[in-house]
Amino acid sequence: MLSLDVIALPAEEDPRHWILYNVFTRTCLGVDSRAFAWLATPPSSEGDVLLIWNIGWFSNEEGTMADPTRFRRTVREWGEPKQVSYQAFIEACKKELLIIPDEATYRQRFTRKHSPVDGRHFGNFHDQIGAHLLMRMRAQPSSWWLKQKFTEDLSAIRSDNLYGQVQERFLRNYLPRRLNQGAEVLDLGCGIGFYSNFMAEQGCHVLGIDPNKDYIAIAKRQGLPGTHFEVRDIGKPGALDQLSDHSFDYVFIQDTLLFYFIPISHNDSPDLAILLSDLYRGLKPGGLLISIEPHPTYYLAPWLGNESTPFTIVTEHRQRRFSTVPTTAEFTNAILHGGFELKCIKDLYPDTSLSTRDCAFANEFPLWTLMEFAKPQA
Amino acid sequence: MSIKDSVLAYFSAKKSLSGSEQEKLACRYLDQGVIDSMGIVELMNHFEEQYEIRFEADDLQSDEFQSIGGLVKIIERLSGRK
Repeated sequence: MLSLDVIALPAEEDPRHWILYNVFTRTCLGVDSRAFAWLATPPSSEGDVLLIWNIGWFSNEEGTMADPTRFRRTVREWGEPKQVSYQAFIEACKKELLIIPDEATYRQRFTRKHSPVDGRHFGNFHDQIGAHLLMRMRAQPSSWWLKQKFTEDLSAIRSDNLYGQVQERFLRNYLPRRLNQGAEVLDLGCGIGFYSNFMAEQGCHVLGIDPNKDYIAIAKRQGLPGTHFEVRDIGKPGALDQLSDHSFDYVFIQDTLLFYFIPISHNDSPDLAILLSDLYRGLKPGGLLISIEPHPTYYLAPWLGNESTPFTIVTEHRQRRFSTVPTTAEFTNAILHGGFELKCIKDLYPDTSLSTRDCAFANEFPLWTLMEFAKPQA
Repeated sequence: MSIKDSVLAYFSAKKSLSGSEQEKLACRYLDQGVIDSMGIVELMNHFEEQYEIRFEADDLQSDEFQSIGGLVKIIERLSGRK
């Protein structure tokens, strides 16, 4: 049976060709337009053939902020077609989950992977990228993550993707206005300390902590005066016990809290309540927790449509089969429950003068949200 | 040493495997914690180098790959020998 999750999109530059796309599994097939007739009724002659193209690829291998759509858009990129019989066409559709055996069996596959070699379950985005990196690219995820975000010498954020074009541009404008000279800042999940250094350049004293010892080694090597870095297994009991009470004016957290809601591995169980309790204790009264997290609705949503007038298809909100980000309500309520007050919420957009597909999409559908939460004065 | 013995020896060195040979071959080594997810890369590199083979993505994502006996069969198939 044809899956109800399938849509058809015209190929760019040549609308005689079509993309059959399962919006949940993000698998697809390029076909010529006779495929529609074949899906409705098998051809009468056994000798009839159809052209198909294998156009699927794991587009996020270029980065977490790369086009998440997973098909080649233009027929130019499709390569040579295969001439196939009706039976071979149906087999190709089954392989790409356009045709499914039955609804129940298919739906059972929408759970997290048990391991990177678990091909039976689709897994969420982190499961899928982990499996792709380890199994197909043979790359270590932590090294790959650095390469997709930073320049080769790790001294700057890449300007050729949305990290640079949206997040960094926003923070370079926002942080100097928000942070006071001489402020004490905790950069939680600091990675290699890029923003720790930037905040130190604004006159802050910054403690950067991260569970990844390789990242902290780089942070220490590149650290500017005013920064200090430590490895801490944040989210585990006791990890932040050494933080002094009421010692920070700001806690800065970027692309980190999502892992407390949807752990990166189904075996992990970091404890958000412990973390928030430590952060509350560590902040001075009136201090601010500043979080920038991926937008729960649009991060990793397919970039469909014309480049200048993009659209997307939202396939989930509450049930997180693919997404790795909690809903806005889940996220906000969890932090409010920790005793904080919500002060400000901003969606991040790129500079409107940029017109590439990624910026056009991000200009319509925000990929990050900033929230400021305050610890009450008394 | 046969491929089967070599694969069994590899996993036994990671964690003591109990039961008959048949039970050991049926062991789903990830589910039973013989190696963890990161150990898969080491496993792939080890057998690819030893037998001069290349696991394809379809092999790695197959159900067969997840048991010791299944892995033996994949290596036998790719290397063309037993």
